Amino acid sequence: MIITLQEGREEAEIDWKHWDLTLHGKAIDDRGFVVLESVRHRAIEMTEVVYDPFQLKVAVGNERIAADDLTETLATTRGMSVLIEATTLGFAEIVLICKALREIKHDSIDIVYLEPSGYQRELRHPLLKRRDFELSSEVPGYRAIPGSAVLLGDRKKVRSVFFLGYEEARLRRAFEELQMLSPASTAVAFGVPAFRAGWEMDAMANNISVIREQNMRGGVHFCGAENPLAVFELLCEVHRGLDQGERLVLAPIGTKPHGIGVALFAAAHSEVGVLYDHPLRAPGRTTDLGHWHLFSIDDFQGG
Amino acid sequence: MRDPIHNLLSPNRTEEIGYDVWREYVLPPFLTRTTFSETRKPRVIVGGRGCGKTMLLRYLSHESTFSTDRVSIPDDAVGHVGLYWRSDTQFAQLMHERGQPADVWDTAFRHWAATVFGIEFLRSLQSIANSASSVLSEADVCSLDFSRLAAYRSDLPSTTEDLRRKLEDCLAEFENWASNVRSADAPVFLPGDRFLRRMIALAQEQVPSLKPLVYFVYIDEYENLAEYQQRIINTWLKHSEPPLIFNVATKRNGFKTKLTDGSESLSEINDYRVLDLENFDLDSEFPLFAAEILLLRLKLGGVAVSEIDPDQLRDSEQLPSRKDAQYSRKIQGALRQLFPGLTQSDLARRVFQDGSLKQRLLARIEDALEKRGELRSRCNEVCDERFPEASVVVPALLNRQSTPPEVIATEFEKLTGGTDNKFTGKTDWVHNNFVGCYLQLFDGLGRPCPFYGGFETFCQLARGNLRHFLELCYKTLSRLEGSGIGSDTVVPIEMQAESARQVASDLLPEIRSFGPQGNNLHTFVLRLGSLFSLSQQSPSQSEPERSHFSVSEGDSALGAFEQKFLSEAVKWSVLFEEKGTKKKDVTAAEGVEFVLNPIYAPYFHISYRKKRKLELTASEVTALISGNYEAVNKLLRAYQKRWTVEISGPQRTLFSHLMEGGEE
Repeated sequence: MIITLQEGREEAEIDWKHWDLTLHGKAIDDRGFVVLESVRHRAIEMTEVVYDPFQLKVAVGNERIAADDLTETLATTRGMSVLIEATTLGFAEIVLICKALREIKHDSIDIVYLEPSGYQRELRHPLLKRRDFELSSEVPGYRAIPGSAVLLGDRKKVRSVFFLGYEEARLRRAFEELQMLSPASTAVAFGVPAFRAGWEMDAMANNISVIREQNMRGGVHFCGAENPLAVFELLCEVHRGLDQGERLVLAPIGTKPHGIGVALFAAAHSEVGVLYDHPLRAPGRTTDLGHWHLFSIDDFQGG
Repeated sequence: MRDPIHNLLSPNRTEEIGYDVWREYVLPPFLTRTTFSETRKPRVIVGGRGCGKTMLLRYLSHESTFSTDRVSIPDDAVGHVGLYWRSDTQFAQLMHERGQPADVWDTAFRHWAATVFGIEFLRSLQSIANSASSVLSEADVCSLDFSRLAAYRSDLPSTTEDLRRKLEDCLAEFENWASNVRSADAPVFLPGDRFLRRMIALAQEQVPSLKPLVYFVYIDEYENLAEYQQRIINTWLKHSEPPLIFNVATKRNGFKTKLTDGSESLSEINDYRVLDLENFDLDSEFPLFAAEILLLRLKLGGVAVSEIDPDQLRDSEQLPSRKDAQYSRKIQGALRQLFPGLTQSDLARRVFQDGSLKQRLLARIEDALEKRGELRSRCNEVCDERFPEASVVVPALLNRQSTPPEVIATEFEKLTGGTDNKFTGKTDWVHNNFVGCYLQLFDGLGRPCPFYGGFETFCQLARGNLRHFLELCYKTLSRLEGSGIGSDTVVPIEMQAESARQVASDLLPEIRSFGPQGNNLHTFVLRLGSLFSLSQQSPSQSEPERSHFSVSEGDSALGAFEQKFLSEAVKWSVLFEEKGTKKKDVTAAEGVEFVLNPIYAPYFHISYRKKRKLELTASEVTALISGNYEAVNKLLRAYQKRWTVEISGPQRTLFSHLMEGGEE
């Protein structure tokens, strides 16, 4: 798999192509609307894909299918150029799509992502603010994704890698709900360099207490927050270092580009499992527009 | 590098200790010899996070029962061989829909269970053979022939070791199929509990010494399984009989469905018994139990602890000796020495020994006198260092319009004169008001309040939760880093109190990880805790130490969502549910009271004791649970006004959002 990265401060700085099909999610903020508008002019067809983690179904356009049938449904894209719009798609959709397109023998795909220039940072602060007293959405929690599930067990040798963001509750909840994860073989990865200088401190400061409490000691890694290639390469290295009979499980609860890296790696390695908590994205969660990214994946059938 | 204290106390997660917990386990005092080993009734084991549920189940499992650390094992130990299964519930949630009929998933779940039970059964035989038990030898295990299991699947090998490996392959095969139902072939499914029964029967047929064998399967995290999966397990529970008894472990409110595959539902007493792991006598049993666990951990870590004998703590025969009063005094005495607390009169005396606290008290009395139109100089009539407890409660009394200052002065004079008075007599102003008034002296002071220190206090803060208790101890002892722990170590009260505050602060964000409603449970605790904190700051302390509430119209007046939310809060031990106590209106319906987990009390600077109740209307409770910020702001301001609480600079931490008009 060859992953090529393009980044631009403005849309015009990207060397765009044209695609037969763009697979995208629902826009819930300015970024989403802007990026969909941008790709609309560059794709013949646009199809919305939304995954339901409770019913294990995927809505592809107007059709609602079992997630296991996504490969069959997307089989008609064989021979087409496909763009995955990762700003509006969630991680679950991205990994399902990547796996399906790989099974359909796509040789190359592209993934576009528009990063935020800011977001509602949640730092630990001694003073309680209004938002501490406001309600939030329910978070479904860690539920397996068809095709990417690993059966955890007390006696099973599993190595896990958590790609962390600023929300400590997501890491904490993983160890609350998945008590079979072994802290001894759990590694964490931070997005360094971050999208913006200083943001990496949010992730580290917010997660350090959980890491310490749980005594996670499988290692600490750093990959650029906007760099799925770095994630892919890291995972190749981790995968090579697995013990006999040890399974690799990945939890992309950090940046979307990290999630993209995980999705590509999981597509190339069917035995790798994914843990994901399916957070409901809050409308208006990110503010303003950051840099544009276009990730081109060639030799998609390679490892 | 981890500090030694951390190594001694920190592995709070049972998973870190391993499957054989024989060495570390301390039998809870409410367990008797008959609780597990002689009963044949299935158990539903209930308990919240940190209650020791997983540790108990591991203790009951074959690795611990037949631990290689046990130098002698009675022959009748085979009458209770535990198999522990903690299902991967995130994987279990995959097993529905996806274009497969319900009966396929039903059979698949039974198959999953059968492979896991089979693997554990074979491991248990190895545990027994490797142990000091004379019931089964390695040669016996090697000689076992399971070829007749081929009736279920023709590819099942006959020897113990090969069969175990094959079942592990079956598990991998099942995992592959369940994850990829379209692309992988369905395996030949094994028939659930019947498979295990057959394995047990085959072993008993071939090794006569295994005739007394009775297996107890413990299925953990039952509450996280899908309903159809729970029904299957309920059916196994209902049909449990030797040599196979099923049991489940669940959080509180997690055993919801009683349905089985058949027409009859489960019924308590007939079909199962509930074992509530939090059913401690919180005043006597829990402190002793908690002390034993801490002392054992310290002893195993190399600290000289003469008071306990590890063998005694894990031996069910010696449970009665641990209930001996002298033993209890010795054990708890060791903890009281390590974490000494202060009596109420100690706390009061220290107020006068501390310059700034004394000044605060005097200022409060003088301000209250002035508000009542009295001279500030009258302070010396109602404040006397020789009667510190009474002096501490005077500000609250002076803030009560119903109590004339003259009366307070008169009663104070009676007190100092040694005659019957309202401070210490039947009216008992001191007893009723001291804690609330003492806490007020530390409001916004920025230093730890000694009220939150002491071994007994730690036990009350933990409220039966071993994890919380150990966390309090760990945080406290880790402050001694460098000095080490010895038999003569005494931790200063301020250090203990500061640790309690820190633990409360650390545990609050954890609430966000408590299930799908975690974020909102966290918000609810902040809202409710803030309300109790406002009450605590009421100058008159007319209803001191409010830390629990009830719904005045009864909790059935709440909507379905709110009732479910409260149930979820109880499940995660954010709230404790207790039967209603004293009713102001005797005609009102008997309801329930919801107690905020006392572990959070130091964060909100409120009492951890369950004293006075706050009766809220259904609409107020609804606002706290599901109201928007404006509704909560309105509620808090209304109570702030009702209780005449002035929020000033020192209270900024909790109430900064109110002071800023609710804006960021």
